[in-house]
Amino acid sequence: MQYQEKFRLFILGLFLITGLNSFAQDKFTISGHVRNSQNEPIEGVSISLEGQLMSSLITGQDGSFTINSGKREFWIIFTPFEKYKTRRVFYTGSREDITVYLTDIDLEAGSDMVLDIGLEQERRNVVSSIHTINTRDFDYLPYQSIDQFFQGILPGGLYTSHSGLPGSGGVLNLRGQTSLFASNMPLIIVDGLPLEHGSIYTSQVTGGNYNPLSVIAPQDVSGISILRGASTALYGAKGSNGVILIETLKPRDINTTIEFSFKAGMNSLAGKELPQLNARQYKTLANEILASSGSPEEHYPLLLPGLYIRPEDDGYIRYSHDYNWQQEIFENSYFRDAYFSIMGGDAIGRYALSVGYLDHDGVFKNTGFDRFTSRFTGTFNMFEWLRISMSANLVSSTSLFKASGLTKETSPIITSLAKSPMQFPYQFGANPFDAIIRQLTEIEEVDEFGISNPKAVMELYEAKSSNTRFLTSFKAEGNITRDLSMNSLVAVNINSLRQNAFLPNQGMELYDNLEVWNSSKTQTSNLFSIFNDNYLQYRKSFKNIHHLHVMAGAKWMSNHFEEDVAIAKNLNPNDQFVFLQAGSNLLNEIGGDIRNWNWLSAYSRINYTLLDRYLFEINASGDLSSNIGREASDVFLINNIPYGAFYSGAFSWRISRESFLLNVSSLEDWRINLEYGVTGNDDVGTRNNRDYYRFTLYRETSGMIPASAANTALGFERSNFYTLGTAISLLGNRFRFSFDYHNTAISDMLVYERLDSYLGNEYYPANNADMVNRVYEFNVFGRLMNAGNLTFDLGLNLAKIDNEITNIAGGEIVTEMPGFSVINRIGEKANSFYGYSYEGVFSTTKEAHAANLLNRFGLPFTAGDAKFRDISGPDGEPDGIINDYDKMVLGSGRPDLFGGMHVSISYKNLSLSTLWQFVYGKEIFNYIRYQNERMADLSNQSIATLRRWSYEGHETDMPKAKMGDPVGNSAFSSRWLEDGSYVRCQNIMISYKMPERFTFFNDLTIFGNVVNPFTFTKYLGYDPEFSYSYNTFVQGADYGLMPHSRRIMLGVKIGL
Amino acid sequence: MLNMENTEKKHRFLFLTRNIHFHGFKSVRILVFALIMAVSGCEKFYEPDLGIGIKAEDYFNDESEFRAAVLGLYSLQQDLVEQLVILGELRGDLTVITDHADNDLREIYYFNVSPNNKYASPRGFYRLIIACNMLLNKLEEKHPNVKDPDALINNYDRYYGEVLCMRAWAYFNAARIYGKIPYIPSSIININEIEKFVNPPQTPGNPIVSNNAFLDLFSIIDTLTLQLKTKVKAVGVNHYILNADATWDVTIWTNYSRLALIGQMYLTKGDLAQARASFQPIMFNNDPGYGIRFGLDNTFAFNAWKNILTTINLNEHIYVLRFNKSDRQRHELQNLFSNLLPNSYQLKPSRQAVLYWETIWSGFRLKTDETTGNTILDPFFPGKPGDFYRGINVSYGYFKGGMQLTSSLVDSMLNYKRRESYIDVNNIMDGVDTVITKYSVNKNPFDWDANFILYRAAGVHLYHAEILTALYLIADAQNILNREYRGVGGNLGVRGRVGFANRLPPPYNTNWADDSHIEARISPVYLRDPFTNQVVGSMNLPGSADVQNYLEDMIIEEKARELAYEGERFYDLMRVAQRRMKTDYDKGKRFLADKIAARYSEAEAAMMHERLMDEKNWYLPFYIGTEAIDK
Repeated sequence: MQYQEKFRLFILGLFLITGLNSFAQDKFTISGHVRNSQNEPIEGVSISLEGQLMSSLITGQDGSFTINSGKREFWIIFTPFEKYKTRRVFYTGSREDITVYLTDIDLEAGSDMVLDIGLEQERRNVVSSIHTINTRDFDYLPYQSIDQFFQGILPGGLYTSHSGLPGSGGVLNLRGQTSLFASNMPLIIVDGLPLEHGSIYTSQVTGGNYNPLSVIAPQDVSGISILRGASTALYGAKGSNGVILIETLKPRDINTTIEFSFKAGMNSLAGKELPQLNARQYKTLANEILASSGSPEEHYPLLLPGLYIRPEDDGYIRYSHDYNWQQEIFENSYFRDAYFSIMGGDAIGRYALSVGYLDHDGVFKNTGFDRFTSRFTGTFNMFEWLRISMSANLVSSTSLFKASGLTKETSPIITSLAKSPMQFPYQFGANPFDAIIRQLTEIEEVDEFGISNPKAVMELYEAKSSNTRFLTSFKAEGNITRDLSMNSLVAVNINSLRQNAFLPNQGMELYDNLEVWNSSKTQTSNLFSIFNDNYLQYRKSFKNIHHLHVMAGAKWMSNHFEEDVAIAKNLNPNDQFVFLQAGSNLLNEIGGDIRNWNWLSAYSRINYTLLDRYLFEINASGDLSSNIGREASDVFLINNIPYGAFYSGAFSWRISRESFLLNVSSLEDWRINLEYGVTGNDDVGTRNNRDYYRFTLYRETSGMIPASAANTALGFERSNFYTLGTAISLLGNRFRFSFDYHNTAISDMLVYERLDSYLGNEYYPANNADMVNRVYEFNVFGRLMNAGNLTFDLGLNLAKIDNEITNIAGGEIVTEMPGFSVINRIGEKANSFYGYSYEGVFSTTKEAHAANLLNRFGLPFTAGDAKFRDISGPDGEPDGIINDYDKMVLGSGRPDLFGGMHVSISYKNLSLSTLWQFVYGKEIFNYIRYQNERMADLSNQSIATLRRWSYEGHETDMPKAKMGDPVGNSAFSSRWLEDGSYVRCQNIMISYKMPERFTFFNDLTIFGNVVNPFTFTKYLGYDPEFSYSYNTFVQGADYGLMPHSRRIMLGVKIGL
Repeated sequence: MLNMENTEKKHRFLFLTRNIHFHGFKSVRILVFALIMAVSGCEKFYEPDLGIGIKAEDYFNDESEFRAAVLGLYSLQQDLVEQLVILGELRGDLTVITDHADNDLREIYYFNVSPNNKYASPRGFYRLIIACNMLLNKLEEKHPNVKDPDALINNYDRYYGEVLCMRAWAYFNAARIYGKIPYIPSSIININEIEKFVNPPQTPGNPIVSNNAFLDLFSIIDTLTLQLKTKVKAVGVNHYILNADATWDVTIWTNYSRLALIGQMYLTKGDLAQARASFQPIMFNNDPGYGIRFGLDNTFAFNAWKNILTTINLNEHIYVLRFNKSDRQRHELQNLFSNLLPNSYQLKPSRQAVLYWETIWSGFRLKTDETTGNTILDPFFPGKPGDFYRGINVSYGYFKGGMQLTSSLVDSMLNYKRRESYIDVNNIMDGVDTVITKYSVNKNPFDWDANFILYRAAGVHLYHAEILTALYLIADAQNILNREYRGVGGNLGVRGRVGFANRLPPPYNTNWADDSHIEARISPVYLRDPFTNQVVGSMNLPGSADVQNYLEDMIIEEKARELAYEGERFYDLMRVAQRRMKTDYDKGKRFLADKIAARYSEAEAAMMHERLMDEKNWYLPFYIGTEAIDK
């Protein structure tokens, strides 16, 4: 009771104060100084009071000013000349002498407008965690899509690109992994339209990933905001992974501006080629493996003729080489990027138009990405109260790539490493004369061990992905009254993706269990999405004390996705007829999928600021998703249809505006932020919540069976988060520092629970796993030097993520992936590697006998075999058998710590900058090394295998060579895991802007850069940065995609 | 726009204000309207079309949808084929593993199964059972007259009968594999139904599938045979309505296959009279549409026998699951058995199996040795070794360097053996792989689509012979085995149609009587050397039980030749063992243990014999959670 009374008194007091203020009619005189971040006075800054008429006032030579006001509390606006940014300062009356620091024009300022959902607001008033990205560099770097710019600069955001293939995109996690089976990727909204997740597209070619962001030319982007905090609740069921708002070409000015830029450069392999055995070493190893195979010695020449061939034999020349096959797959290549835009208009209509063309080759031979983009936006002031804008975006791109990774027949890396160095890419004829004639014309056929000729992989194998995307939106903004406005957006997203692959006969291993000599594949995926968003917003300020901004609306989105696959096999062996109709009827395959999903959300937001000191934000949304089951829990029902409720609140205390800090004038802003909220993820499968039937085949006809164990209670995954943070900026934002602690408890994660066998279906989808992410984020920026024309800036960010599974169905779920296993176990990190602990090699028979270990088939481990730790058995005791009971958590593919550093120096018109990025505490399953050190077949191997155990008593860490590896020395174990930490210089960039007096252009900038010049890592593969697909389970498994290239580039940008 | 610009500022302001109100309200109304539209259209919006699936509530509207649902069950049955053959054969005496066998197969081979063994999971059976339950529910719900025995028979009754047969078959097979299985009476296809079933509302947290809800093999058989005899009004629809293909008739459940299943169940339980009554209508049929079927006539005699494996015929096949690569229906059996790339050759015939085929003789004569008075082999008619119609290069074959040894080469090898010329034998046999070819006859190595025969005439005949033997109708049983048995012309008997028991192929087709038919006489039965066919002794069968046992042994031997690798071997051995266990418990068990232990290496044989003497090991463990239930 007492508290309530006190609260009432407090409210009354507030009213009294505000009331009194409005009655006070005294004149106040304030004097002060305006200074820059060097603490030097600024002369000539014009000063005005917001909402009050006064004669204009300009600071004097010492930066001082004196003003009179009729009110006790008011905003002072400082409008400097072009070197500094405009600043508003809220004056609350108690001081008579104030010092105001202004921000340099090229620094981030509190008065900058930040793109947020539905509105722009001043950076200083943003309550929820929103990070913006400086789009200035977008013109200068040779990146194909904007996601690459996120790397190393987002505190708490980890971007891992899929591969070095241009345009392939990557995986972006904001504040850690957020789901096991549902999407982890943030929702991307381009000019108000949510894009689909790239993970909905499947690929017939292994290692093919689609990147929805590749449809936007980086130069088109005018603003990016990354929302991770409370404001994501406005996107309810799609908000839990964060939201990325992208704003493209925005014609702000009525002057016509024309911009043209061109850049070009060269790619080269950034890492080193892997050291492989030479022909002589290979022969020794192959002999050893043959000897271990148990097949009679007289069969060896049949198995491996090249080993026994003598110079006088026919065909000797085929086996007489010492060839480095890696040189067949890599090449230096080129790229170019041209971009043109024009913007302009008048008071009634404004437009922007851009076209761009990019052609970027990969570092693998015959790969690359080319893209044509065009974008138009127009804004028309129909009436004073109504503005209509329209944008259209047409993009067409083609990506040429290679099936990498797991498909051993077609993977450039696996074939080039495994191919015997004795052989040569081209065929030789039988007689020497013929040999000379035919050399370098006919590609050599596949060898005896079934390893494709890398030359054929690079030159005859084809995989192409063509993409045509049309995005269009129509937006109306109307003012209903002075404070109330309405927005309405209708947008359509049409995407067509077509993949063609031809797996040739010549030079290649047979496919599909040896049945197929060549194959042609086509896949088309079509998405049609329509989106509509309508909202009202109300903005009102009351006497400079209360600022209220209320927004309410509804949006819906309907998606139709169709995918068709056709595969023709055994076409004419001459590889000339590559079309689908030419395949063998018996082997044709047709497949595909159709999915529909819908989303509807009613949402509301309230922003309220009191006295410029206390900032509140409340978000709420009610979401309908067609993926959610009717009987889901934690939903509310309307018309018997489930809606998820998502909400958040944020509070920010601008402590720097409290009276006890008002006199610390160098303290520009100091805030303490609190956020709390619940957001959701509805990506739990489009059919998991329905009872449905699927077709099946019997004889010449089809039948119907129940499809799966549907879960009509399937609900949203939920993120329950809170954030504590503080941010300080000093001396006109010259120094900024922020720290956030972010805790997300993700509950109700989708898992596929195993059913008892008497229940028929093997798995059912259920919301039965929880996980927590504890994220510590630091971000520092400082202009360390600001002397005359020389500036020196340093930005640093660092994030530490503790991830832990807190609950999962059955306590743990082990998932088998190609080559390895992952476990999700309570108390461990999500998707931890799970395998044996490798402890070296038995050097002597005696030692092996003493250990007395058997593998899971009952074969004994002997001298030269791997020594795995026998941890447990069925009775909880070590049982002398190495099997599932002896697997342990071996680490995780997700880093504990990552961040970046940005340094930039500028002198007059010349600027030099560099961006560094690091990840630490990440394990990599090196699948390529696993293939390259197994010594279980006649593939060529790494020089590391020279250390292989080869005699009794040999102390080494490399087991003996053995055909077929019957005892399982190469089973998934800590042997294949490596420290994946790395420090990488992302780019070094230099640019020079021509002084205007030398040119007739508005702007002429010449720039150059080196991308990926150095990487420091202990990792033994080509590249420690890769992400095989969007699937969370394979993060950290290096299946040998194209490594990132080193790029050297020059460019020019002209503005008229 | 132009109008507004021409008006005076004041008017313009007023004009705008009016319009603001008008348009503003309109906008709000549009917004509200859009919201209402969105919410009212929600049902459709919330449940968009499924794309490639059909929503459960939109299904079962007409007969064709029921028909498709029934056909769906066949594909679930197809999924079980590989498991059935592995469990039925790899636990029997005719199959062994090769070096290439994977761990799951090894575990089955050694009767030591771990929880995740893919061949040991009952999931496939229950998928089928649950799909059947769902369909039975729908039929009862939408066409209640399927349960009315007096109503006129229509297609729904036939579907109902088909589904009941299918479910009974799944239960029966699961029960004889696991011994004790849960009986699930209701439809549990989604997780709600599963929840309600596992945790019924009245006893929350107390799973209904406790040991009480498990039925053992005999209770399952009682339940199922009753169902199949009382609830089934008709079986088998013309699924081939659109493509008049008579082979459809034996690729679905029909009344004959229903009877075969009932007979098989009764026989397993040991109810001989009922079993005989079920098999008899199959053997002594006169099909109104077809005439006399299942007669073991010369359709599949001699060289034509192997066509049983490649064609579907109304005269031999009672129920076949048809596979066809071009219809995308395949199984892995060819991969497991064949040694030709890309097949993995994980299983091969045991030595006993090979001997069953290679040591059977035709065309020999016994005669009395004038000097000693002993019965000896007539040197002029020493006989022809080997079963070349069912065995060599049909059920199994020898491969050397990827090539199959021809029948004539194997024939000469066997003749070298008869003459004890082992150097020549070795010349032929050095480095050969012995390969099960039953699922690759006339197939190329990539086909993997041999049909799977569930019931066929010879099998039913052999069952019948077994019953007659047990009923001590010895002569009838012999007739079924050897030659004609029902006075209908053209009946050859199981052995007769492949040239044993008096019916010899050229050049042995003489008028001479021979001794190669099975003759269970009181005395004597001549014992012959398996490789030379020389008479090495004789034995008397003094009592009726001895005659029965002898004949039963002969039937089991004959089944190996006729039905090897068709998935029934282990159950045949188990059934005979159990029958003998009734009179002599230990001896009965030893029948099975001896036969199966003989296939292991010497080092393993003793241990495996001991393992097989424990009847519990004849059944696979059934896991609930991680616990195997008690047998």
